[in-house]
Amino acid sequence: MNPGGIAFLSWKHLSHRPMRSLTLVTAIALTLFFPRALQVFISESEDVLQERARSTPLLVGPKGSSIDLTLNSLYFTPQQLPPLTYAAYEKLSRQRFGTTIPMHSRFRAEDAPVIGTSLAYFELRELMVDSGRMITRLGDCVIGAQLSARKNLKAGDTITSSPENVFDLAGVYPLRMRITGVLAPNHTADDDAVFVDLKTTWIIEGLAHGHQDLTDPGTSGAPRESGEKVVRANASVIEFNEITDGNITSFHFHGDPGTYPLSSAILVPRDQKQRALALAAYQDKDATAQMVIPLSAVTDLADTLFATQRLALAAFRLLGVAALGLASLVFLLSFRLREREMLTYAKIGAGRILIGTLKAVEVTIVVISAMILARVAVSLTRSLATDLLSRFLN
Amino acid sequence: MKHALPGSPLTLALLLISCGEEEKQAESHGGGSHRPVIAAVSYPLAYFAERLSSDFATVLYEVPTDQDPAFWEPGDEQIAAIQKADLILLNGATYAKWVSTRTLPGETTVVTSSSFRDRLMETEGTLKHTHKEGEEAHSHDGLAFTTWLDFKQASAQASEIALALGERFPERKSTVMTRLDALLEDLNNLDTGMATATSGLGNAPVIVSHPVYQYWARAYSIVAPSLLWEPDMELTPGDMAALARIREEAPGATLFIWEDDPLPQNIEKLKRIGLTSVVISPCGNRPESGDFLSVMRANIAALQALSN
Amino acid sequence: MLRVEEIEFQYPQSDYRLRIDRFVCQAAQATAIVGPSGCGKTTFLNLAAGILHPSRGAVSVDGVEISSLGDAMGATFRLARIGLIFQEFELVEHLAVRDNILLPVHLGLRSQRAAIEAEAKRLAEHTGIAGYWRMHPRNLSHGERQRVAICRALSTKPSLVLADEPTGNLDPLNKRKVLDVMINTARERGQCLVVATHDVELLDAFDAVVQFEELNQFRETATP
Repeated sequence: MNPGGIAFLSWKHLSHRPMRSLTLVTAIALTLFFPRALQVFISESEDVLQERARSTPLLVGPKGSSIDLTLNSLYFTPQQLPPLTYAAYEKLSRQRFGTTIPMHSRFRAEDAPVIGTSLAYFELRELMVDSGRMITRLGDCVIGAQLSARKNLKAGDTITSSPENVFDLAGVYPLRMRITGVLAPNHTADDDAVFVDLKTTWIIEGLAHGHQDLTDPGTSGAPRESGEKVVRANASVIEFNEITDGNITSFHFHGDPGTYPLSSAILVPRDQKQRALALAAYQDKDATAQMVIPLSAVTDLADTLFATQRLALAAFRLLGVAALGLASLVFLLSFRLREREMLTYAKIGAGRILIGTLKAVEVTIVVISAMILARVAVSLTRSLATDLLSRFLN
Repeated sequence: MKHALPGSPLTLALLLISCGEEEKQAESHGGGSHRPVIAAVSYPLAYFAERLSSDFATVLYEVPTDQDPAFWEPGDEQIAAIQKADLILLNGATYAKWVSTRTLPGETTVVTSSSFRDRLMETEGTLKHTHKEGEEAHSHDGLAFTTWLDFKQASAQASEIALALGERFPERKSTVMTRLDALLEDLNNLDTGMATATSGLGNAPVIVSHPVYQYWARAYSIVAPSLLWEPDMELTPGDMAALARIREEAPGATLFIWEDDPLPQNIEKLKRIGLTSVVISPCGNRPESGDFLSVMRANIAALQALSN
Repeated sequence: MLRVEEIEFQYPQSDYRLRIDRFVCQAAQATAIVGPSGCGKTTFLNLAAGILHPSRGAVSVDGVEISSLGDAMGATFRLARIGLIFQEFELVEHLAVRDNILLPVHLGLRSQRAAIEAEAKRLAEHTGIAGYWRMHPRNLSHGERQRVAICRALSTKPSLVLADEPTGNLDPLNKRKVLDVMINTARERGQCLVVATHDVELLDAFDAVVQFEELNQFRETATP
């Protein structure tokens, strides 16, 4: 027997029908890939979710789904949650359990979440400015590394918030924000986000604005009611949709700041005692806000994912059996069709064992190719798991 | 001598050990490599911070002397420097307008007027406006912000600063508290002096050139209607007419208070209509000479001279 | 040398029977077996090659009784010592001409590759298919495919060459040419050449001609 010759003959037959061979290899590879990829994806996702959750000790948010709150605060997934009031946030701060960090994540700049927060957020997430500098004023933003690369944005450029509803002209309106810096990558949802001062998100929300000086007689559409220290402006007064050195002093807030909305607040307790006190403070059923332990919420989510994974794996295994059965049938039929060829080999001088080996080598080449392809695909899945998870969550 | 230093090796060892300890402490609290920075939005707060911490901290106060700190607009680099400070002292009462439009770290920010936030005064007589029908009229001006002109409030602000310093630098707490006592004593003396000086004015109203004396007026029970005059502006007939209207609303006023030295011709004009000019400097910014204490003492002296 | 002694053979579930008392082909001898289609010439060649086994009797090649060898040993012997030219050529469609001719090397004669490849090229030159080395059988004419099959059988320099209608689809010029190559090679190399043919015009080239119907003792039931 010539092993090299056997391998050669097997390879020649497979390469003679490349599409059929590729189809077989792909089908077997997919059968092997899907269950493993699912396991890898869920395992990596679990690690990513838990790491992020572990670094976020406690969350305070409106009452409702703790998982929605956690996903929105940690991964900036769009969620329809009622707001947390700024008064509730201030109350939390005054209780001095630890560092409090406001989070406002309602708005987007196209597909990127706009996160209104404080400087403490960057410390918590160990986010450093890679180029440019940190935000210093309203209308400033720093962007994540991935967003910068994707949209080719850098310090000095601008990015505009997206209106929520093209018909809601009197409400949320687009604000052009000055990019002051790009953050170093940290391989989390932060890489795709736009970070602004919390007050900037209130401007986007329409709770604050800047406009021409209404006491200036040159301001159009601003008639003065004489005898009354009130000036009533009309729609022709120009409101600024970008904050500049020239107009920043005109920006002001309306209404009671205590009613201003947040999405949630992160609490980093000073110590275990403060953590326990904080949790106890929010256990009252009548409280309007809830305190969530993100790690617990994510663990619950992981348990659900795990249960789903088992079902999916069972389904994949059934499909796999079917696919392998079909592949076996294809091989059998192929060998049946090649009986004459095998007979020729036998006549020329190939024994039964050699012919059996020839068939086995052909099958082995296909299976090994499929295994290699599946392995490569699984490795790719592992490296892309975080990105896939971000897209999935968003 | 035979018995010069009987325990000298031991003493030397102890000295070396204690030096090492001091160095460690200094390093761990920034003495070695990082000198703490305390940023302040106004000169009075900067002065209090200097009184309490100048031996171990640098006070960052960059408002140019020719600008009003309440309306100063810092540049990006200045904000970046303030963001890095170990403590940021805010006056509160919407004093530094730039604070509401800038990003500051919440953990290191101290609102020095928080202990009397419920006693802050709204400014009166300001032009209010609305943007659309049905909206509540509002003013951009907000609250009276020269809180330190009530020396009791100034004491509360100084105490707030001391508390923050003690929390932030616990190893310095006792020194800070000792210095606070001295500062409070000075402020208390100012309070007593101002009370005495203003009591000599009687019950007559006092006209003030600028709406910055609200807390001072409340503290010393003075009626003080306000104009919007600058010391270096030429008084026009319109200005004099406005003054006349004020005098009608608050008859009996014989004193006119300026923030700074007015033009001689203004002094003359007012004198002709029976108003004596006196300078009571709010000292919102760093004076050209002297310090907060000397400026306030000068204010008291100016009033005292009138009473005499 | 090929020696067949008193063999009998019958296909399962078939009435066809073959019985040959004696057949000998000496080394360097070219023997033609003639007979009408279906008389059993192919069956005889398969028995001579050891592809089929007689129910009794013996087939010997160079003194080795191949009819009693097992499957593996028989195949190995056949690969090394017997060259076969099939009636239907039986080329492997997905292999180029070169690899079809070198099939014995791929199946086991690795150690003789250089020699077999040199012989294959020589034969290809002589049979006029040297230019088709990298082409596949589907791109060749009937005659060209036949010549490839002939080269495959002869490249290993076997002791015994069994050819089933090797010139059947060639034009008269190439028939003679190919047959001359086969016979000359057999004589030069001392091979025993047995050719089943019904082409009577070529019989004069052979050393011996055997009427198969006279050879088969069961000729009255001649249809396999």
